[in-house]
Amino acid sequence: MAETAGLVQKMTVLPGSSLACLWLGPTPTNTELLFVQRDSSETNAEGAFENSMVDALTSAMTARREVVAVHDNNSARITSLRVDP
Amino acid sequence: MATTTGFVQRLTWAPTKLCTWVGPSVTSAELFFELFSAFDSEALLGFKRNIGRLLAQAKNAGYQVSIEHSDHSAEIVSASLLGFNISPLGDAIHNDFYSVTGSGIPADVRVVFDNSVSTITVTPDLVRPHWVLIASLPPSIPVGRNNVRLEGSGYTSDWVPVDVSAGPAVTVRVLYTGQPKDQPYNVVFVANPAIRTEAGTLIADPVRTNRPSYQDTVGYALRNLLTVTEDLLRQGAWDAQLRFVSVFDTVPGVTDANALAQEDNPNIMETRRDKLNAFVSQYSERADIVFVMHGSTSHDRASAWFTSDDAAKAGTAYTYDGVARTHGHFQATPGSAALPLDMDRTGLTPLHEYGHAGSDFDNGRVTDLYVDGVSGFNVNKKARASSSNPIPTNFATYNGTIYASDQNRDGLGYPPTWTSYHPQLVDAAHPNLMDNYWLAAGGNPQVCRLDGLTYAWYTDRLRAKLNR
Repeated sequence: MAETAGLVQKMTVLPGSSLACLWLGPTPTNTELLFVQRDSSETNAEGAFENSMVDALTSAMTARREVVAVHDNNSARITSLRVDP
Repeated sequence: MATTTGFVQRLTWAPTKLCTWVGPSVTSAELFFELFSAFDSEALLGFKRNIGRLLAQAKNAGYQVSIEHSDHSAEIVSASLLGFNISPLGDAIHNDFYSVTGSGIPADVRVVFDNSVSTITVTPDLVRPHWVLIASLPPSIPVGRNNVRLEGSGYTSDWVPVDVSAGPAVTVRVLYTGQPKDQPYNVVFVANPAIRTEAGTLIADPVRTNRPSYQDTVGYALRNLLTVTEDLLRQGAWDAQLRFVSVFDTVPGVTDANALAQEDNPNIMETRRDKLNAFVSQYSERADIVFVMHGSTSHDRASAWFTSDDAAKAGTAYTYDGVARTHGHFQATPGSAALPLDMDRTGLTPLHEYGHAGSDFDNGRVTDLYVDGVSGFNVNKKARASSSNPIPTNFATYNGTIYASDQNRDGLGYPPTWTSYHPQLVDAAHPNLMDNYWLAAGGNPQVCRLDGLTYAWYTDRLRAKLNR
């Protein structure tokens, strides 16, 4: 697993694709694109967990709070999220 | 598809429709909506709820949104929360650090806070093209909603709404988040909780009762690391990839585990390097370098310990005088330096100590050049069998390139009893950064640089770690 930390510089939510994209990085011009997605195979509980992460990312962006996104080494899909002290 | 961008002027929730008005003002906003239908899947409803939250956050924080909709419908297809061309980092708190990031920031930039009653202009303590740092946010900035922007020669950023509070200052302050990747090169400043004395007892470190001086000294250390003539850490805009964090925590007790500094006779303070990983990991940090900031005035001569690279992890191979060696990508023990709050700020103490700390115990030590003698594998110093032997023309071969020796020790001259000698300087007019830079011609140590070999070796070492 990899951890990418930074400020959320932009967020896009696309309900029709069950997808939220975010641009994470130290400055508005130095970002990595990561995403949160619900799969049709997932349970409602798993999906609600993912939607909860999207809300947390939105809050972190307006609070200018650093987040740590956890994802597979070869994937930009966020599987866990931390907001450290 | 069409896209409309603007501020969220109004939001209404009426069963089962969310409506939002987006535009430059209440009277010139467009209406968009989102329906929550009994036929929607659970996943669709979940992300529609996310859009409701996003729009509410945007309205409360004063951020713009971008609404995507079809050409002939006001129903929301997607919603984006937009940022600005600068990015304040963390809470704006009186007397705490405050960072703003961006790009193309000029050296004469000022941070301007505007509110309903006043405009306050603050001169930052550190300016880099991607980052400005205020070491202590002035309490003259009114508490509550302000707009902040950067202004400099030919440069004006967006206004960004921020909420300023009176305190308390935070314990862990990320000063710059670093490259958005797994484990960026991380430099952590720590207010040392406790000191182990020469007698072996533990005492509280006075730094923790002097947060203003701690913050001011961190600001100085960052200027020294990133803005003096030697560009080791900022070459190629590399410092935009580095992560910088401050930890000022008054809670940890005076215990052995929290004593990160040790007094040495007669006036040196050294780090207790084996304590550092455990200490900073409490704050979710994994540091490559730890600067242990302390308040001792009796032991205020700075010192550093080399990094111990993790030999079990990946590295980048190199050769030095034909011997295969490795720039390790990760640390087993971080490099570290003990820096006093009362250090002389006309010199190069932080960068000089980094010169030691960033090098490696086993695969290349960068050592002091103002003393004779060689211990271990030194990148920047060798010894002759006798002081009467001539200094070799060539110092070493690094990755196939031959580097000459410094025959004159940059004009300071080698004492006649010394056997050691150094590589040729980048700037032969001034002493080496790792030498006695206080003797710099013209009286300004901050123009001193490394030698060419050490600069090349360090550049490769940093590149290996940055690209890990």
